[in-house]
Amino acid sequence: MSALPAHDMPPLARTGNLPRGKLGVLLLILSEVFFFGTLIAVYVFYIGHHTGGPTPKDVFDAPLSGPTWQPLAVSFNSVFLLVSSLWIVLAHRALCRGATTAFGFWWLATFACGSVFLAGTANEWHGLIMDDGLWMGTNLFGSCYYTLVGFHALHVTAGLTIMAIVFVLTLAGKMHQRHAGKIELLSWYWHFVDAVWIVVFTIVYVIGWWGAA
Amino acid sequence: MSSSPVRPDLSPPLSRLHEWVVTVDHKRLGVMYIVTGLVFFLIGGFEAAMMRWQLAWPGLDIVMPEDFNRLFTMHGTTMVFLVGMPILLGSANYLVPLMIGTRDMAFPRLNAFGFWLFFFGGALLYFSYFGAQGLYGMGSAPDVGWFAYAPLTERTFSRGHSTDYWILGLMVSGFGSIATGINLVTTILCMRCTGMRLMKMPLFVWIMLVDAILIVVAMPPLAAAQVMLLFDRSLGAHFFDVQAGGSAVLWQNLFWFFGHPEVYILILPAFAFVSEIIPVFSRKVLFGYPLMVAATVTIGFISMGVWVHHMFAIGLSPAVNTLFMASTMLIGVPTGIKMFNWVATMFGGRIRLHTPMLFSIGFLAQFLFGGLTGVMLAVVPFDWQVSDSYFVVGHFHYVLFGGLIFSIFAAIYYWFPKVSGRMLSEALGKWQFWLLLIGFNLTFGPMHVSGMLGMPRRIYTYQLDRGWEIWNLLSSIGVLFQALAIAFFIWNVIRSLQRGTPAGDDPWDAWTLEWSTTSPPPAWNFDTDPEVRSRRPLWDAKHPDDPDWKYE
Amino acid sequence: MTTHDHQRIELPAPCTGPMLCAFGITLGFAGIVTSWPVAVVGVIFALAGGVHWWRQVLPDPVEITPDITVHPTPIEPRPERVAKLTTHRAHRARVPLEIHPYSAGITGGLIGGLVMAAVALTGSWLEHGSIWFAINVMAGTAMPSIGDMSTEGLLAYDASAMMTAGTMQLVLCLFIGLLYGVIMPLLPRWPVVWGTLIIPAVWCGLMLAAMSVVNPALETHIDWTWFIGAQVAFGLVCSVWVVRAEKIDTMQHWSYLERLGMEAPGVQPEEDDE
Ligand SMILES: [Cu+2]
Repeated sequence: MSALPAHDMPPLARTGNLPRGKLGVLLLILSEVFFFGTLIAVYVFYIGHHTGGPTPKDVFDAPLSGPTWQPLAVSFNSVFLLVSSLWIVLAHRALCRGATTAFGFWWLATFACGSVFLAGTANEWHGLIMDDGLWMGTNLFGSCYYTLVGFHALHVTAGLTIMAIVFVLTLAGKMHQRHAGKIELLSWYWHFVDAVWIVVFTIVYVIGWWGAA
Repeated sequence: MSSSPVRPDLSPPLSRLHEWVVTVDHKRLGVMYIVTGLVFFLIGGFEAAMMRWQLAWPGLDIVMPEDFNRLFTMHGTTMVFLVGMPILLGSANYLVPLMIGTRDMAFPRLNAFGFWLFFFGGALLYFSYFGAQGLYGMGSAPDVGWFAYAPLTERTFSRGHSTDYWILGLMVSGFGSIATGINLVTTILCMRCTGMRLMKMPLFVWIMLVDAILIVVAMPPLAAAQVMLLFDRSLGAHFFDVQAGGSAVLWQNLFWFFGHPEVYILILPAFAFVSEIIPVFSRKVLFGYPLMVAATVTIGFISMGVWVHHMFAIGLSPAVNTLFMASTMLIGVPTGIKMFNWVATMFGGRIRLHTPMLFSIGFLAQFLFGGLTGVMLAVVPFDWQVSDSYFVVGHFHYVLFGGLIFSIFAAIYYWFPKVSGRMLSEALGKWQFWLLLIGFNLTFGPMHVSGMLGMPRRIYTYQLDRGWEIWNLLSSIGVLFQALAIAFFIWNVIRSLQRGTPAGDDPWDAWTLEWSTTSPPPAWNFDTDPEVRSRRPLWDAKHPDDPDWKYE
Repeated sequence: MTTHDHQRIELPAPCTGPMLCAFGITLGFAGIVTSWPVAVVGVIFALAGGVHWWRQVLPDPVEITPDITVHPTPIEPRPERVAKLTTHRAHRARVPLEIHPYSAGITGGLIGGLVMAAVALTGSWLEHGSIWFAINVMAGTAMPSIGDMSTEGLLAYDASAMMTAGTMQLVLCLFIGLLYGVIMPLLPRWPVVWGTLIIPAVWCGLMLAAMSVVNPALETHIDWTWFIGAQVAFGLVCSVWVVRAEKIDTMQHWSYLERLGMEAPGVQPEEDDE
């Protein structure tokens, strides 16, 4: 047998390589899912296990009990966080078009809504600590609550920090159409933070309230 | 130019060091991972030797009881997190981009970040020997076992900062592992060279892909559990505080939900090494490649669902125990498929018994033994009988030492010529192999017997009349052989770096892309982007009359 | 910048940022177990490293172009031909290509069982003066009540013991004979030696070790010489009977089409007309 001429070789297969930025962020989100998943599993496992007050029934009102629902502040803030996910999509679309001014506007809107949410969480914590005397070491409920909500808030803070840097870069005129891809990755992270909050909200303020002894 | 790695203003050794510190090159980072891992291997081995000295005969007092607790904690923690992890991440770092024909990892700077997090995390853990006393004047290195069971780790029982160092050191290096895991998956799925579809990747790359995904999903739960423990200890939280409604069993669940996948994270690279080495030294193509891929993926999935087998003895319900007994036994199926395929690869081949192949065969035999005692331990009643005894110690050392460490030495002897450009000495390598083989089996074989005779783990001494003396003495004598073997290895590396035979590009007549570039490979890996049509691109180039792409 | 005739190669530039950042983060955590100034220093390091890192990648990554100085040796085709794994019949010698018919095992077992019984009964008659002794002792494995019998009882005929021992002998010999039939072609070199000496030796050893557990009362009554003799007799008769039977083909080396029984031009390798 002799060596085959080159044209007898089969054509090179398509590799099916994926875009690396997107995959990297998705993997980061995957690992975060397992991190929050653990915290949430522990929270659910410990619902009703606390010895001594204050309990979720002491500090929160019944879910959806009307306009007097005490964590209205949280609910209201949740709206801000959820809406900010919309603004970041609009910001990304604007940058794709190359409309940097519109991008700056929606970006600021996202940042502002995120900040209101964070401020709301801070306000809530202040009330819980000062008025209800609930902190990490008070009981098991406190440990779980502050850890879960705190780590979510930490992720919001991280997102806001990066957003602030991007906003400064926008003001300096350094954000361009070609950065739209990176902004999209940032928006995925932000949607993830949003989605986590929906789960956390349901667990802490609804299921946790019903399940509390 | 700020971008140049060479700093002419520094003296030559410093300039060299500077080059390594600022590097983002996957090959240098890989070497740094592996060298750091080997240094920790010597430290962890020293800790083990101290324990064996103490246990050689009843009633010795070579070390104090509290030091013994520190020794086994640090030995376990070191070997898992500071030896197994860096060597696996380092070899993946070095080899994956070369094998898939690309110039670097997907995120080179993140790669450096991951390494340094691991490095400083390990340093922080060992700093506990000096710093853990803190203001209390209590504690030194962590002494709560490598799985740090609650409530022993609560502030009430573990004063001082030793447990905090365990938490923080491992958390920091864990972040590094997650970063590198993400990087590896992205590299493999996004950076393959022209023509390399997923099913054309070397099996090494497939296994590392599954391994990296396991790292990405298994390390975060550990970090979450450690955060909770840290809050318990420093902020007074009650997660694992039984008096306040917390649950000690929850810690066990969380730890082993990480811990069992971690076991597979550690052993999968061993599979990856031998899957490359055995075909080359049998002069045959790997038997059953698609099945090997399927088995690897299956192991990845099942390994997430077996963790309770570490908790059979704590009194969970029979239903739970039975379920996890079944899932644990199930994992033997894909693992068995791999064993058969390696043997089938060797079957009918022209086997060359060079050192890498010797260590691979050692791996096959000893891993099989460890795997079979693993199936024994999966049987709940048997586990109740020997749980927390030296039988368990013997079992997992057959897997992790007889399996993983033997395969690591196989890999070192196989790829050292590529990394350094020089061959390791075959004669010294064979000395090391036989000494290590004898020493290893002498140390860990008798542990099965002492375990069956009822000797518990983690005791610092024992009474004279239990019938354990001879088995412990044999175990301790084995350490001498192992130490001698390691001395041969170190001598071999030093000698070969200085005056080993030049390796050439392809000393083993191998088939994957890393052997198509120079030894050591240049910073840019390949002059031109490689093109592949089969799983053995170099075979195709060497045998154009009978290329692999005709059969795949 | 150097010029060269290869494609332009760009590599990520070395960067201190990741190392500084990692060091800072570690120090930051170390602050928890040491003192807060350590954490502050850590945060400063982390920020400095982070900024440095960011500026390397944003807005565009900094890259260097290496001087290409070394080249790998080109891979030449090998002159030697590729050897193929040959798959002639001996290649799968461990899987029997030909076996004895299973019926030979069954009949061999039955005949062996008769001879074995004859030897055992002869032994029983010579040693104890009664053939019933051996039968009763054998039945004792399944009937615990026999263990409590006196020696006189063991020498006497017992209908239920006879039934039990007979059934046991029949079933065991059938199955062990079948086993002989299956494994005989697998045994290397001298199958009859294996069947007559080695298998009975293993079996007797097992019984010797296990009898005290299976039925301690009977252990005292068993006459081991005759027991072993009976087993060897069985092994000899059964294995010779099996080995003498004509072998049949197992289709192990047949092709898939041949096994399917396809008859078409070009399928049967032996027929080479055309
Ligand atoms: Cu396990």
